[in-house]
Amino acid sequence: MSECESEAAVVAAAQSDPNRFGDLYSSHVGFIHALAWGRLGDRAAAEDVTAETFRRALRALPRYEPRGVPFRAWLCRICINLINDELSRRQNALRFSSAMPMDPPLDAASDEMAEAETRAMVHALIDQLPPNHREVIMLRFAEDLSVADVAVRLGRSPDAVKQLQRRALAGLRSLATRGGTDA
Amino acid sequence: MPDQFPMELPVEAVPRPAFVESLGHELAVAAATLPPTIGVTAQRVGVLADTHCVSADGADLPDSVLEALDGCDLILHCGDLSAGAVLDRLSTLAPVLSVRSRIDPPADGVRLHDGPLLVRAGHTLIGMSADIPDDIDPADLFGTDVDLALSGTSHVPRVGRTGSTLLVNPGSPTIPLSDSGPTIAVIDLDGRRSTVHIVHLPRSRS
Repeated sequence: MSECESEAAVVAAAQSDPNRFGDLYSSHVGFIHALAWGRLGDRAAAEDVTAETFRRALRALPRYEPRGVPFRAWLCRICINLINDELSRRQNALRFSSAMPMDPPLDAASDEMAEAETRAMVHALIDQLPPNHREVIMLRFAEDLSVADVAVRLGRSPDAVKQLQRRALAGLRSLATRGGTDA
Repeated sequence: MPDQFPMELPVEAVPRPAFVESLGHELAVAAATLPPTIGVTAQRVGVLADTHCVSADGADLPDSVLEALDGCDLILHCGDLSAGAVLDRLSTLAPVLSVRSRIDPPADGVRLHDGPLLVRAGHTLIGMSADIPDDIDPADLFGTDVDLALSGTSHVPRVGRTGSTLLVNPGSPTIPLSDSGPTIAVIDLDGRRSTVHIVHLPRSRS
């Protein structure tokens, strides 16, 4: 059974028994939260977007059809829509507040924004990686799992995980330095 | 970009366990109220309810019902079948899914499901329940927005709409409680469009 088929089986199981939605939640919550945090640069907002993503996913689960697209991509689409909504809201708030007298920006706030931009850029690059590279990067660095834990999670040997991680990092470097999509 | 660039990933982005746990708990509670979804392929769906057949072999289900359902590729029964044998007779025509009411035999998987059931036929999401009280929003009953909400109990055929949901009660083919006489419903599914036909049957039982 391919990875895609096995995921389709997990999704189908959750559709016929919604109590199994927890399996999907556990598999993807780390990724979705990291994606939201990377784009929004704000932990609390990322938690809100993550929560809303899964609430909407659960509500729309009966309508979900795999159609060869990974379940995570479907979740990402919901998440990115919510992120865009949040960014639009912020932009509108900024437009409104710019008409008001403002204090000069603090260095700490500027640093925070720069960090948020870096995170968003990193996540945008990660999104361009092939799924197996993306997964190992997220598990190792976003979920902070050890090589041994990732090996168990992916059903691979630790050496295979290290090799996959090397290839994924090389791909990410290539994307970062050349801006290409050939990872 | 520095060589160690990927190592700058936000490792602190690991979700806080408290957040993950509390959201997981909230979702588990919500999931527990969401009915199961059965994926099917169907273009013409026969819908009936309140058959109240009591014979052990379902022979008291009028032949006119089977004739009216001929050509359907899925049959949905919305409760008050009374004897399980009626499902056997209907199964000779097409796959059958049903939801049980309090007077029905014990649950038997999705063939006779205890509680609301969701059926996804292509782009159409159908919610089935033995009853949908007038003061209950189908979206609350089914835990999601459905295109078609099917129910029985009243013995009176009805096609209505609330929001984007089409409400269908097929009436009863055996004990009608309105001037419409014995009825079932046949629904044609065409992409996102559904056409409901209330089929009027002869009054005499076969």
